[in-house]
Amino acid sequence: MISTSVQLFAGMTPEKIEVIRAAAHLLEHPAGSKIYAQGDPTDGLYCLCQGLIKEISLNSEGHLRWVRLLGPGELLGSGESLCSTPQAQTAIALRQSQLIWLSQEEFKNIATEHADLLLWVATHMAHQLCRLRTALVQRAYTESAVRLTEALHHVAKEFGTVTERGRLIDLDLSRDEWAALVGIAPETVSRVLHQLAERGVIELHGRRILLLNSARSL
Amino acid sequence: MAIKRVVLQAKHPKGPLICGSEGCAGCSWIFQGLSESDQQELQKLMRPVRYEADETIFHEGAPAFGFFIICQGQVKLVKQGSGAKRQILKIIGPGELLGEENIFNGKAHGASARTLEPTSARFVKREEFLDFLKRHPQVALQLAEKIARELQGFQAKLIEVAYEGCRARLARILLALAREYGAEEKEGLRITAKLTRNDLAEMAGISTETAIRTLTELEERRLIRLERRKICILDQDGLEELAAALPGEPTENVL
Repeated sequence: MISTSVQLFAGMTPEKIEVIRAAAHLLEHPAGSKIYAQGDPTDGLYCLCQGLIKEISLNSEGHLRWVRLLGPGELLGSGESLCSTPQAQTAIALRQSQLIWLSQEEFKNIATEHADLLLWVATHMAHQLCRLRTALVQRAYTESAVRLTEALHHVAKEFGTVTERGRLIDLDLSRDEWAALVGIAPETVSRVLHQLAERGVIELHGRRILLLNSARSL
Repeated sequence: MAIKRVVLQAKHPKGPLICGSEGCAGCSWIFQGLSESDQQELQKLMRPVRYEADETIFHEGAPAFGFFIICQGQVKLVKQGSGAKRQILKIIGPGELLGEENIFNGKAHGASARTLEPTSARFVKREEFLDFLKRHPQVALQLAEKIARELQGFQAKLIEVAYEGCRARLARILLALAREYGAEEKEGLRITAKLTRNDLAEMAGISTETAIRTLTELEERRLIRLERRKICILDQDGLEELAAALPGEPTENVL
């Protein structure tokens, strides 16, 4: 059953949601499972309803170069689907996730008949474009330590769990993945995390990071 | 040393000439496939606007009411960073769209647009164009594809900024500029866009001092020749070797 209440469909008429509902498939992905892999042929459009997904990509030498975290309401594979290019990233569920999937054929069929669906996808992509442009300026001119600290705050706010002592980031992200998420060297991630821990901003428990309440005003 | 000259193909095919502007070679490729009557309908939505060189078309944060189609001239799209730092997101030339993401975001401009030279354009109101898009799904599809390509391009740029050195970034920008705005000359390929050293630095996301130092180094290696606001590429192969193509080379203009 595809819920119509998800934020994902904000702005769409009930009739259009019904068109999507009729063509869409509901997918359940347990934590750790792969939704698609980098280089796979594009197979359509995915909309994340519940859960958390990490998107990663490697360069030709096999080095991790891109990590993005996606929460409910985000679209996956839209660019590849529109451009008919292979998947540029690998998508892996970090938590139990529920997605709506429109196959490439279904997506193209609906899109050619219902411009609203395309405009809805384009709106998602335009928002993402604005975020990327902001990130580009930030990445070019903001120091690594500041970027990592800001990323910790952002991830804690968006995907963290509230505890008595602060927000807990309980995601299975390695140092290399934090480095690619922020666009810095893995050594810098280790150094900055330890500095933040020494200053009492965070506590490190293996891959789990607790952003302490006292850090909110930083 | 032999001087190599290569004609680079512009990446953007032109679409139909809808605006009717004198000297315009064609509007954006997203309008391909429109019938003559549809083109006439679209033309009625276009309002002509003109700007002098170094004039601001819109400011970052100002309310956005629509988008522009550039007929003649060149415009830089600039995003403000912290302090005085700025990043040139792209250079937009004839036939290209400016601020098209506002059709969907519809609130405020995410960057500032400033002309590099006298520019004529057509302005299209957001609501009117949205209505047009709903009745012309092929244009909506092509516009969505354009935004998707730009997204892929900016993802590549984000990776580039994090992992590539100044020399590679600058070399890649020079090659991309030549591809978009290169004119073949006896000595090589002249970049016709009127960009200052500061502009080039802001495109690469590096300091002006680093840009000047790197450009001088490239000139000493006879890869380029520097003139006041112009640059001539003398050895494209040599520059490409330095640039080392990015995986997933952008297919949309994200200069």
